[in-house]
Amino acid sequence: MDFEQTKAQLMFKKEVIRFAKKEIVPRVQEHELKSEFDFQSFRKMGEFGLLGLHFPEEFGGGGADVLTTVMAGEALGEAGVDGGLTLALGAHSFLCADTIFCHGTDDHRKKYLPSLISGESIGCMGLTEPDAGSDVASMKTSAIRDGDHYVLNGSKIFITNGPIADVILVYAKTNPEQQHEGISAFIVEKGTKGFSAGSPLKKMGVRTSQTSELFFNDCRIPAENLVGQEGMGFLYAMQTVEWDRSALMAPFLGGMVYAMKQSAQYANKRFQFNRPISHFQATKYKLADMKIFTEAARSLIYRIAWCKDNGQPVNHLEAAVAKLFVGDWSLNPVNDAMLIHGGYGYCHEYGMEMIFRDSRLAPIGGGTSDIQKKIISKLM
Amino acid sequence: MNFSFTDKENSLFQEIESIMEKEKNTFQKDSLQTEKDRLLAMLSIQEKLFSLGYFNDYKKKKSHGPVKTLGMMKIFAKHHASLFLALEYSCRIFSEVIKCSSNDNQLQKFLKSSGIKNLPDPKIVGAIAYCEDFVETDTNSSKIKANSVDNKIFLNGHKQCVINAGIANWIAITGILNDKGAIFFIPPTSKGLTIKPISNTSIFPGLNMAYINLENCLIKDDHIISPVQLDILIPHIQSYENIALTACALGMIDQCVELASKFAKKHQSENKPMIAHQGVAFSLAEMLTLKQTAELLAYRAAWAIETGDSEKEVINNCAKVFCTETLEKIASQSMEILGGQVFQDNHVVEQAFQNSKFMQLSGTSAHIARISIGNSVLKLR
Repeated sequence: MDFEQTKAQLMFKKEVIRFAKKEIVPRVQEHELKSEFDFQSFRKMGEFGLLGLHFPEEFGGGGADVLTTVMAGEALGEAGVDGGLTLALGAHSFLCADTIFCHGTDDHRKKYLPSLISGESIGCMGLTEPDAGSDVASMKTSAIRDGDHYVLNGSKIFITNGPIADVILVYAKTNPEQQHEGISAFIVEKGTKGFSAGSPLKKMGVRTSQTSELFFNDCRIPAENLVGQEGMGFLYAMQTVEWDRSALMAPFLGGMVYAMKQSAQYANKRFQFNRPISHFQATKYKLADMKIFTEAARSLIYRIAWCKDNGQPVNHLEAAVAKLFVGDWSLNPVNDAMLIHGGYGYCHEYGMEMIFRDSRLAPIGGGTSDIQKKIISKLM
Repeated sequence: MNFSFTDKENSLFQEIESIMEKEKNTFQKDSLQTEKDRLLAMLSIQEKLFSLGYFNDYKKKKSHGPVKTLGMMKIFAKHHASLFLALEYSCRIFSEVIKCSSNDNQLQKFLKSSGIKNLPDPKIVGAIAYCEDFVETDTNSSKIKANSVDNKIFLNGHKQCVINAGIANWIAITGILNDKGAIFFIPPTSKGLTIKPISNTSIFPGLNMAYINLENCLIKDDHIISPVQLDILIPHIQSYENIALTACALGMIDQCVELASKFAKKHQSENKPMIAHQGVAFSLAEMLTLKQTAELLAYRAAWAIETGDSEKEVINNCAKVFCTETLEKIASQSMEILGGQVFQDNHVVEQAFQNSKFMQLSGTSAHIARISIGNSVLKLR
């Protein structure tokens, strides 16, 4: 076993933190309060190379390994970037662009990847439906072949980047009689007749990410917009799970590190009873638990990245373990961060309540904790 | 980064596993009833593991290193936690106490007169007595003081929780000589020494834990190492204890998860295996999640020692706290799945539950470890 990160990886992580603190973090509060997407920061991330870190250079990507990509996500959280922006990045890069890269045709790659990687266009993935969440196979959205076209009908819900996406990777049933085997993946471009996105949903956390419903009413798309093979969509969707449980979890981990550091800084400055509150053992206990959590979670997340980098099939059990731990066990440390800040922790200005709200998506998005438990117990 | 073990490492683990398999009969409860049984078992296993380099100081270059050693320890602890810990104290930690001597002359004199040929020596059972009221946290406040009468040195006082006390060839006792820290080595037959086994305890019955009382106990000159900086020695001992306790927790966690999982698959409830009930299945999933998390954190901590990572101390404290507290949670959940059977015949899972508290308190206690971790986060050191 070797837990060492290369010098280049560590330097890059520092660079990402520096970039994020300078270019993104000063804008977070304003956008978070208004629940607005920060297009400027998103494009800046594109310019910096964060939207396409792991894609090959020929498409404008950085050619980085998965671990570096995961560390970059962690760095964004650690710098204080809100969960909304990092979630938007994840949906854009890993759930949409990566599926096009892995399963699309050369034409798909050439057409969509450069603008997605630069941030000129925004991507999203449409999988969840009002009556098909964890039970993906019960989706109702259909894609029926009609000559050189597919006609899509149905709706999606809780789609990150839905209202702002230019490129929509949507899953629909090409054979409604079948379960998982009937699901296929398609690219739908913004402006296609019959496609519309709903208004942004009002959410507890990750507020700067825009989440909405997607509607498909006799939406005709060219047959060449099919991604990969018909009937393979479920498999493609499940492959994004590897990203869900590594790169998408990394900003949550980074957020915890940020909360811990901020809490330590605050505790050293805040005086009560004539001494800094950092001198009270109760404060040290809370910080210790935050440290234990971050150290424990980090190796779990890095392990998934390492598997992907080494061409090892990501063990679904290990991926689920990482997701479950980060999701379920993060509640106490993030709560502790708020408690150390006291009344200030409850106010927006100090950022702790935002991290608390954002962190509550971890046990829900990308497969709930109960679904992770189901996967783990089945594989035991 | 690399999250897997090499074939060579795996074959080493396999060797340990096969030694443990062969010792299965020795590990049976009935075979370890008396102190003599336990002593013989310890010496036998000690010798077998010795030849594999198991007891080589993992902080030294010519050893398996902390990561591999942790892997080996975990396997042993899974098979017999009490014997595992007893041997850690007897061999590895006892050697560390002796090696702390900065005076080579004193060290050689002691080795010569004690008959200890190697450090560690597979033929010797050692015990360490450093625990007394307040001494774990305030390392310089030992009340064990040596008096000099007619050029003879006598020791008075008492120590608690001395592991291996009743079966050791040598007991190393920390105390004060001429206002300076010292280690006194005494054989268990010394006049003035009383060993009182801790009775009525179901915590690690194989550890032979005892109180010791010293009343004008004569100490030979060549059985003293002094001066010793106790505020350095005791944390040093605790750093080895912490790894042993972490490994022990991992082994017991492994066993709890395995037993609960096997039982849940086999035992029928309402005409289906227990694991088919969501409550049980989800509980097992939580247990496995915590088990894998604990393992990775422990290996990361061992790796930090191996590479001299600047955060090695804090990460090791994190690992010790997390693994020993996780053991309590997992043993508790495992007991709920296994049901009433755990209250019969000192069931291994019930033992794990009870032992978990001991493990949280031993070495660097969870309380002190958290303060230390907190200080490091606050940069208050």
